Amino acid sequence: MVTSLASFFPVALLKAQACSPWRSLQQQDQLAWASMPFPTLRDEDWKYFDLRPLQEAMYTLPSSIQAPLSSQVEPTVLRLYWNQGQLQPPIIIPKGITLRPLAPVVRSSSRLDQDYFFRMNQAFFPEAYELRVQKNFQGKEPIYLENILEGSTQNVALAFSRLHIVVESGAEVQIVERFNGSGRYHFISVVTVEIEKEARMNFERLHFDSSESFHFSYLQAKVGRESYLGVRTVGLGSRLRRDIPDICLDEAASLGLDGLCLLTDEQVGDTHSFIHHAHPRAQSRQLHKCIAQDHSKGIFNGQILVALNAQQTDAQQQSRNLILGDHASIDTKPQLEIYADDVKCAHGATIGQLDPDELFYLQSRGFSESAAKGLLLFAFASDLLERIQVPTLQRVLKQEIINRLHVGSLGELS
Amino acid sequence: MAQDLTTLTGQTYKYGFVTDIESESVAAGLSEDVIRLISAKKQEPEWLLAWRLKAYRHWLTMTEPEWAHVHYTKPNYNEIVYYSAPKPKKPKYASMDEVDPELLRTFEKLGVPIHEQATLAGVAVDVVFDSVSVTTTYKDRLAKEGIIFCSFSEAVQEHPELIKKYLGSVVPPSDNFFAALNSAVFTDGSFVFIPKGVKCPMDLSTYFRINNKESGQFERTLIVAEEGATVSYLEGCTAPQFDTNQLHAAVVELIALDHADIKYSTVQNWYAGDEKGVGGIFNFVTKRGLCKGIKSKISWTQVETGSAITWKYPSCILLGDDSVGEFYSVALTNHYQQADTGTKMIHLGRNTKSTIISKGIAAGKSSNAYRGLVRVSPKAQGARNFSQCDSMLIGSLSSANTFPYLEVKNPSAKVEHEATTSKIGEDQIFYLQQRGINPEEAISMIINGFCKEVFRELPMEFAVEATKLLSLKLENSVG
Repeated sequence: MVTSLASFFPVALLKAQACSPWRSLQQQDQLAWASMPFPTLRDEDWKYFDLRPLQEAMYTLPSSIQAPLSSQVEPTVLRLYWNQGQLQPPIIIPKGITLRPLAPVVRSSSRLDQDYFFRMNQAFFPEAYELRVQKNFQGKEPIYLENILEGSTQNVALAFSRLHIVVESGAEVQIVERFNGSGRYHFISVVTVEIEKEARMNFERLHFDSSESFHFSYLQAKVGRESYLGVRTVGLGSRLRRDIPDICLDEAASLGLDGLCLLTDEQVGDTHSFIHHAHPRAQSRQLHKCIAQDHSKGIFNGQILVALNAQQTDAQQQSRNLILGDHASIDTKPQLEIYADDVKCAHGATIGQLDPDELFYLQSRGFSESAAKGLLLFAFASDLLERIQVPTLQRVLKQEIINRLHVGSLGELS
Repeated sequence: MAQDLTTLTGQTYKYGFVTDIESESVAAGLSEDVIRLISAKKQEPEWLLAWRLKAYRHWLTMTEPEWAHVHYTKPNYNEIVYYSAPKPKKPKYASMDEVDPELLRTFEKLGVPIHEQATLAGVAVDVVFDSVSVTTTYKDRLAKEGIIFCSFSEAVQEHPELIKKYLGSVVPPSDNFFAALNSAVFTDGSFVFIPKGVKCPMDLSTYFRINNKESGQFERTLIVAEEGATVSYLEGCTAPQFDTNQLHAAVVELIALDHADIKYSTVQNWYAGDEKGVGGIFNFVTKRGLCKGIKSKISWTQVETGSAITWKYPSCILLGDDSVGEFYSVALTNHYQQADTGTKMIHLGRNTKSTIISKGIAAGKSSNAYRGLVRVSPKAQGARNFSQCDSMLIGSLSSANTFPYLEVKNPSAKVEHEATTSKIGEDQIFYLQQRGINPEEAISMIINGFCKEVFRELPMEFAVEATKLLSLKLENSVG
């Protein structure tokens, strides 16, 4: 059955709120998007991800809300707020950083153009900004990108955000992207990143979405010559969450792409990554960890493509999964496509449980069973949390994970 | 050194000759009439014809799969000869001496022991030439143990109840495009039945040969091992060198009841096309084993060196509690060959275990993909899987891909997968050269080491053949 798109997405309202400087370009995208069939489980890319909850939802647009007062105390060079997908213009922007509306230019085509929801964002985002980190900028403190969404209790508020980040050559920057929300909403967020040569960017992405939300988050990055991109994504919220990092590496670039996904109840957490080694001598390290409890479902689809001339590529990918709930499931599909011969590539995937010997050891040292479990799960997650480059954030996250692991009292840990 | 690595060129395919023998074939094309004709020629019972026609009608509604990582021009199914058989001088051979000497010479040339007295190997062989089985050796000795080993057509005549019971029970005719086609037009193949408690005293083997230029080969193998039975089965195949692509769409079904053990080994050496990628066999095969009983075991070992295109996933359905599935594979591609091969392990029973070891070697401009599925169903308590897929690339124009799918729906499952891709280290070759080994031998040694885990699963004669085959195939492609 081909599902008519307009029947559950508020297309007319979306068209009305589209971004005016982008009008003509977005109209083309709207046409292209409208001709795309709504994905189903028969599509290889959506094989494990059931989109029927979207079709059953009543969609609406988000209502505007009051900008919350900043309650955050972390040191920062700049903090930007998006409420309901709309940027609240900041009062001061520090030297070395610029923020302005993104000029409408035709994007060079990319594989994500074939992605239904990426194309949808492209067709309907109401505004788009460019955050530029100027040449040789050295950020000692992170830039925070705070996204706040308030959905309603009945309808699903559909919101889009679009941000383009440029890190000019020689610059070094740390960016934290955080999503907080309440109620029912569907957020389709797109961040595109362009790192010029010999620059560094650390990117921490924290998804604390509401437990009733849908969140599809795209990260499309180009990492320039001898540049570095480090991404850590921690997914805790959302009823349905899909994270789509799509990263292209230039010569001798390096990438660290890590993800932690903690799933409970009926949550679905999906990471769909694509790493393109387009040029020689680049290095990538990917570690994805997932804990699936209760009735939840963890999905990992990690593709690494090594192009014909990308000699001396060094790519490693790990997918580590714990399946703990009686009705939980894990589907993982690491994928290596290699067209160059002088390469070192490896991937590994494991799906299993906590080691009974380890549990026994802790119990023999006086831990209760639930505390022992909690400790081991926390250790499993910590491995990733410790890679987060912002110490204050690391502490907050560790506490959050302890709270969410509801495997009995962890009082014994502190 | 670099020159050594690049100047070694392809060894010619030594099985590429054509046997000049009078053959009887039906006109090219596919229709219900052709199917009726094949069925009539084989004097098949009515139910089997109905079964074929049902499969054919279903096939007409199907589309050719495109998801595999291979590129080719789809065969025109109306230009294929679906039945071709060497014209017999007599309807049935009473003994080996009556077989057309030309035919015997063909198999002698191929090194297949069909003269019982002349062979020391002690392997029983069923020989399939184009669409029909020519002869089966050691039948009497096997019959003493109650073992049935004969051509499929013979089994249809003599053991219809067994065929009716098991045919299509593991690979239903509607399973996939090529299985449906095979079910409609299959012409011959082998049937093996090992009764309760019998350990087959010798390896059983079928040798497949395509001779006719326009014909496709659609054989069907069915192996049933009853409670406590064990059998080791070998399959070999070659075809002459033609510049057209021929289709080979076989179906293999294995059924293991309680405590039964089936070991299935293949050395696939169909004609692979020339170094420019012209000609060669399209090898689109469906192989599946059902571990139906408790503690049953099915083990697939394959050495894939031939065919222009290979599309093949020998699978195990682990239905019985404590059943075991194994898959050991070496896939070598050179020149323009393309392989998309792997396995499926479907864990349904409790405490089922599976092991997957796959080694892919891609040389020249070839492409080599591993595609595998490990599925643990909600009821498969205590399932365990280990997979290892290693690829080796020789030459910068080859490609290697790995597509493992792991789907786990039971929280007591343990599934592990690892894969690596690398090339032969210059330092490894240098080390061996230092010890007085020439580069070509050094490469052969390294590759053999790379494949050792799979080769040691092969029966002795096959292991020797496989080792030789690999070094021949790689001659002049490595430096």
